[in-house]
Amino acid sequence: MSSFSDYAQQKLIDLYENHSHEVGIKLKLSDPVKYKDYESTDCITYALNVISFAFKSIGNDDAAKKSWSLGKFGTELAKYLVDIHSWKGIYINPDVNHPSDSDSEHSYSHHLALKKCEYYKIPLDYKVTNYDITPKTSKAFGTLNKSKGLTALNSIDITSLELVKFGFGVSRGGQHTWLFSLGKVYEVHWDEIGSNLYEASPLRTYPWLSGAIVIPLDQASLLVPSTKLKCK
Amino acid sequence: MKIATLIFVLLTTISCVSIPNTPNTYVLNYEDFGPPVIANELIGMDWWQWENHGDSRPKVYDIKVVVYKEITLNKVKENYPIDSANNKDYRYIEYVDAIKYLDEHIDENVFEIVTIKLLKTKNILVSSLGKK
Repeated sequence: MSSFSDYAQQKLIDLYENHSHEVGIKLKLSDPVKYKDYESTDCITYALNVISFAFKSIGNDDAAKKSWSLGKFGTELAKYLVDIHSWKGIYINPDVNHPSDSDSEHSYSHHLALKKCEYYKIPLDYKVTNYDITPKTSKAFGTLNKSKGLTALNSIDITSLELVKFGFGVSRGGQHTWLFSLGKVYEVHWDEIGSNLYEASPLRTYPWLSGAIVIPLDQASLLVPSTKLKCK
Repeated sequence: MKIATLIFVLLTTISCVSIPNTPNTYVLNYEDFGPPVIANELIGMDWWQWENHGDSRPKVYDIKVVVYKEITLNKVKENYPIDSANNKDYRYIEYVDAIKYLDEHIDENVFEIVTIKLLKTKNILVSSLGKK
């Protein structure tokens, strides 16, 4: 019997590979006549298409409907999945001390994740951090935390996360949302069409840096014990 | 002389905006309130307020924060109207709320670089709109 994650992964890949009927919503708005025969999409629409499909596939039409109603904001959808469907929240950050874009957002969100077990009010149970270390030669090194040396690489936690079949990701408090499967980020660009509309890239080098992924409960057992957050 | 220099530096480093200030309002940038992970509780998210989310590639949005004092919110909105067609995004914050937020996060002093920025923001507000 297939699980939510099986259905979600199947739909995620299906849309990633077959989307000739779709166009990014910004592109469609810029020329509605040219793109009138295309369905518009964007990052959250991709997530909602997949999550609602998986809920329907396991017979939970109410949750599918509720997801669409909450999906306006990625953080609210993530919080709903954790609070109501017992999904688990994972804080992610490739280098908590020396973010490669020198933005204090990443170190500060790490501080709050450890202190409150929350990411923009999304409850967190796990953290996967320090998997893509900023080298000393980078301009960004030491701009935020002058006194800290090179961050120790943690390959173990990210390797366990890469076994997770499905997750819903949120960057910068929902400025961008995406899907996760087996180490890759799957996303939609709202100003593109054709082969550039969807993109898959490794989470390890994802340029948004810090964020959160929420995963169905059955996937959480794939994470190693060192990922557990301890503020509860 | 030192104070005058400090004020000049603060004015030029923080308030590089072309939007006019008034005796009862001061316009700052979103970034002057620290990273979004703390600032969102005071001034909302760091993308256009008329969108549900932002771009799929990291981008900085030109969001202005209007701090006001002894003037009604309606009047402030009249002076600084939100205009999505022209990407004019204003967030309106009462002076006391802005100072309370800044004081709280300055006291926490989680990251020196953030604390310094928040201190600069507080100083500019106090020197422009007064202490109380």
